[in-house]
Amino acid sequence: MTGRHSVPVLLGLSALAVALNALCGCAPSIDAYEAAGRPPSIDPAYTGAVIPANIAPLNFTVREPGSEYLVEVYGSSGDHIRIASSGPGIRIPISPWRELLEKSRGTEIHFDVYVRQGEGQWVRFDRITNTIAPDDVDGYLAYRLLKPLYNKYVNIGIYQRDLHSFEETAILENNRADRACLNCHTFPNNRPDPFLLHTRSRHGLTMLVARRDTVSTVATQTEFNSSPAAYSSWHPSERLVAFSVNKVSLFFHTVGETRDVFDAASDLALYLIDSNTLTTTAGISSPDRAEVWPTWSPDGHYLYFSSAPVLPIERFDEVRYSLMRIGYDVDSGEWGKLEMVLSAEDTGLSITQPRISPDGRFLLFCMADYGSFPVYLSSSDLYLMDLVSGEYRRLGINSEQADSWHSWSSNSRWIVFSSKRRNGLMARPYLSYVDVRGKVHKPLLLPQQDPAFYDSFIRTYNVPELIAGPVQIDSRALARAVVAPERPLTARLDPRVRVTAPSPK
Amino acid sequence: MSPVSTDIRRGRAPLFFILYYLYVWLHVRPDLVYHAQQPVFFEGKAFLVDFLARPGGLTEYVGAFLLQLHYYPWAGALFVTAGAWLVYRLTRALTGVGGWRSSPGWPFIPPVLLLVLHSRYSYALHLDLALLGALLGALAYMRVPLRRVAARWCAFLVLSVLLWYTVAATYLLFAVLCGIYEAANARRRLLGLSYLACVPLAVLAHGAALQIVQADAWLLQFPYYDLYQSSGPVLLVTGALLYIFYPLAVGGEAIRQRLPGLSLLRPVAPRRGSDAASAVWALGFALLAVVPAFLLFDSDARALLELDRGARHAAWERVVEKGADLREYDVLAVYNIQQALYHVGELPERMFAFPVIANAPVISPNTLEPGSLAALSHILYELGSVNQAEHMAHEALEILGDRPSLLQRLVLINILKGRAPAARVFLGRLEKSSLYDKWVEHYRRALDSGSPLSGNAELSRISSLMPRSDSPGYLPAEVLLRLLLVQNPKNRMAFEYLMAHYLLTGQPEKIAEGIGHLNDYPEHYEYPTIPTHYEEAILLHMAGLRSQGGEDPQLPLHGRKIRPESLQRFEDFRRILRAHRDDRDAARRELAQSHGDTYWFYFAFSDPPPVQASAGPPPPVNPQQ
Repeated sequence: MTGRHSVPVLLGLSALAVALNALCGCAPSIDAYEAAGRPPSIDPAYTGAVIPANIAPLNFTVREPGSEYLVEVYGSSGDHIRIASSGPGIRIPISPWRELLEKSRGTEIHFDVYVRQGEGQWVRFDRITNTIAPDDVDGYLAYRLLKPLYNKYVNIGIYQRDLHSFEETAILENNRADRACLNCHTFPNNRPDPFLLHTRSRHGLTMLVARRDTVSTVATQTEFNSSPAAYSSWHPSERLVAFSVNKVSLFFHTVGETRDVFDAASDLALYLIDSNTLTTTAGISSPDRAEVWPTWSPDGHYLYFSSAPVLPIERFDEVRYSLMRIGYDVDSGEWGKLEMVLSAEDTGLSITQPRISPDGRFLLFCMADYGSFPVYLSSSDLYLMDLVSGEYRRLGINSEQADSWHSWSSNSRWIVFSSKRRNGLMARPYLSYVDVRGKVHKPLLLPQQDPAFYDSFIRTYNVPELIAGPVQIDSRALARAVVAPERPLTARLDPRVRVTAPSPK
Repeated sequence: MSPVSTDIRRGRAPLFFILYYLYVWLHVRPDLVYHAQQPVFFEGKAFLVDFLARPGGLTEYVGAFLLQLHYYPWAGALFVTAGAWLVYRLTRALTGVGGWRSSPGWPFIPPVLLLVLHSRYSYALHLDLALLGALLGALAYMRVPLRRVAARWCAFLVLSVLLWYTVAATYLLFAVLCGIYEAANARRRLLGLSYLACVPLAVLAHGAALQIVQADAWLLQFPYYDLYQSSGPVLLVTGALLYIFYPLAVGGEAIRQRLPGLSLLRPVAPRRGSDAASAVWALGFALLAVVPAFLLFDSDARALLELDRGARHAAWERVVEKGADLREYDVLAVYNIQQALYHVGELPERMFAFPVIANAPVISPNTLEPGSLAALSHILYELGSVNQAEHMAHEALEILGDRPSLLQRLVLINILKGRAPAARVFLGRLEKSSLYDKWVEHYRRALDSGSPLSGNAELSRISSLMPRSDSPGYLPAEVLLRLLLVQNPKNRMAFEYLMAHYLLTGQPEKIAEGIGHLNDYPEHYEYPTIPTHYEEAILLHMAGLRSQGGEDPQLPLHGRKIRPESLQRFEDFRRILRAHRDDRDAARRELAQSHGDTYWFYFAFSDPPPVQASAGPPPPVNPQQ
């Protein structure tokens, strides 16, 4: 048993040697090789993708048998990175990688993979080419990590990853916060400050609003809504937050995807931060319809959301959400007209999780066979609507498994989404480049330092959100706000809101 | 000659620790400790980094690694004994510094206390390492050849930082020992007091480093407190005695000298005797020392662990055998026994001869009993309800951590669901735990072959039981079992569990209805007669009908008959019941002797009485994935 522990040490030393070799340009040169006549099998499949110039090295594993491996990475600038390895894991040194990407912005970079078969001949595989996008992706990705498929939560954390490197830090882990459930971290305009998240623990059901060094704790239940806030969206002015209140229940399948969610009733409301007031209107809180997944248009004039007629749970697979929007004037607080944007009757599918690009041009959303919770539905795919023409299309980046939980970068040129395409169970974050014409390019799995990271990582990436910089607030302040909040607020209900029907509970 | 070498020469210590080893190996059984804790240890930097990031993490990491040795009982016992021996050596050295050089029995006390701790099955091995670290640090400090106060302070500071990082709160023992040593033994009171003042500072610093924000979490820093929360007071009290022992040992002589009244307590030096006499002394002391370990030994925990280990390794006969001897039981034990009874073909015959959970569904998830979730996952898996087995395995995985047995279950489940890539991820996780290399290799090869079910009789059998059409909903036990049986009428386990459910929830009329199922698939239900508990339920149901209608009911037994001896036994039951019509307790006492293993007894006397189980509320919601 102990003998195996020398393996990681030896591998580490080998990697160090390889890195030094690569840095000083003294990796073994290959004078003779055979051409494989095909591209190599590598994992993750970083081939034919458009990648941001500010991404960490695309470390990968060569899925070809061999005793030695050599990879050359180069671009049109003439810079070369050579990585020699005795194993199939290829780790690209970060400094030359950054330099190469910066010089190759807007052009292609190539990977030449050589594999030595046994003690004999080297084989060269066909060149792999990726394109460096002219536009950067936001520098950080915030996400929640948790294990799939459970009700009892013990270890949940919200983390942020520096996309320029492999550094991951915890924004808040629930083992610091009395094992509270943490969910729905939400940022305005891709900025890390302010931000909000929701918590559920023995200390209560609350919304945390973190701004600079302070954290406000808000109990959002009122006479209108006995359920707390759930899925949220900041208004671009940062003066208010739209959120849903839901009555969700779990149920299980005996075949296929195990878990499913049914939303028996839901409404939308606004939380006005300065006045600590909750308000709503009949158009987004109809008792005979379930409204969910609010998102603001970048100009703040419209609230987009999903809406479906309320049906009993026995007809769960008939519930299909339409995409709607309602006007709102943030200065006067006046509501505008309720409009149908895309009807489920027309699509035959359920439309959820609308997200609008910051430039206001595109609307990205999920469509699945039924329901409001696409991450559990393998039929969930991403669709893009051109808000100028109103036309929409299914994206070519979809997979056979659930593709959902998407968000935009601040420059509208990148999207990130969670996909279960690798194994059908654990979602992984993918980045896709969206060019000015709205073409969405082949997605790129978030690179990790360990090329085989995803082969043994059993947590799922949930709600990936791109942010321009790191969340700075101390996780202790957030934890304290969960466990022992100072001066917690209780939202007041706008007196103009008439409560006429039982709210979701 | 040093006291240690004297002990060794005279055979005291070797004999003591040989007996110690045998006790741990054969009586405590480290493999049961391994099964109880199923330590999570993975190779690789990612796993290590988490430990290195917090004080005490290094000790926990090494402890988690060494706990793997318990997989092999002899190796685990060897490690525990070696640790105890090191503690003994360090204790001897420290008591020497404290002036109790002439007390040969005292250094054996900490190993005995450790034996009590190791006999409790939930004791965390890394606490041994932390104790060793603190003692070693204290001894190193006491022997450091520095005379100037500033230099000694520096030595203390360096050791403090080192120990605080490696052993976390156990560092406090080191600080206290150094403080007492300086103040009481070395006559440097101010220096000693300054060390003692470090104790509250260390507590604060440790709390800050852990980013503790809950007020009630401060206690969690202290060794044994979290174990106390989960395992009761024995561990806490024993641990406290262990930690109090050392300040007394180091400072005791100085206190005794300052308090003349205590001079009578001066220990008596043993007289020089023959080696044989020493050996006898050692044997006597060892036997005496083992008394508290025996008295505090958690034999009930061992019995339950043996049962669970047997069930997880499919040693069904042994589980039934052990189940008959249980003094205490829990939901997990009941699940294990019923699963074992099914496998040995006795679930419909002897279920009520064993503990049951009265008036409860035969399978019922409860996150407050995480161990039972793992067992439930196993049962559901065998029933063919693979999706529900997956759900339970994930619940257990979240609560209990990445236990290898759960990872194995999830590999199999994902293979059965045709989700090979997910199975590979769980294999990849399991692969980092080197004890399971062969298992991982076997299933990796099976997956590589593209048809992992072929050649695997167990997987093929489970696959044949799996539902083919979806039945969505929140499925209580009865609905789920009926569903499995409807989709696969030959699923004998589902049939017997459904019948067991009817029995447990007081629905004997449904047993009578189920008898027809036996005739429909005779090759899968080879009962020569109606199984005993089913006969008992039918007789009970007939008696109920008779009392309502007055006539002898005709039940469709599909050509089967109730055995005369069963009829006679039922008549006896009713006769005794009638004889004690006015004294229910007397009836219960007498019937417990003669009919305690029958369904009639369960039906009449279980508390609460059996009634049809409700569907129950849906589970809490966490739909954020």
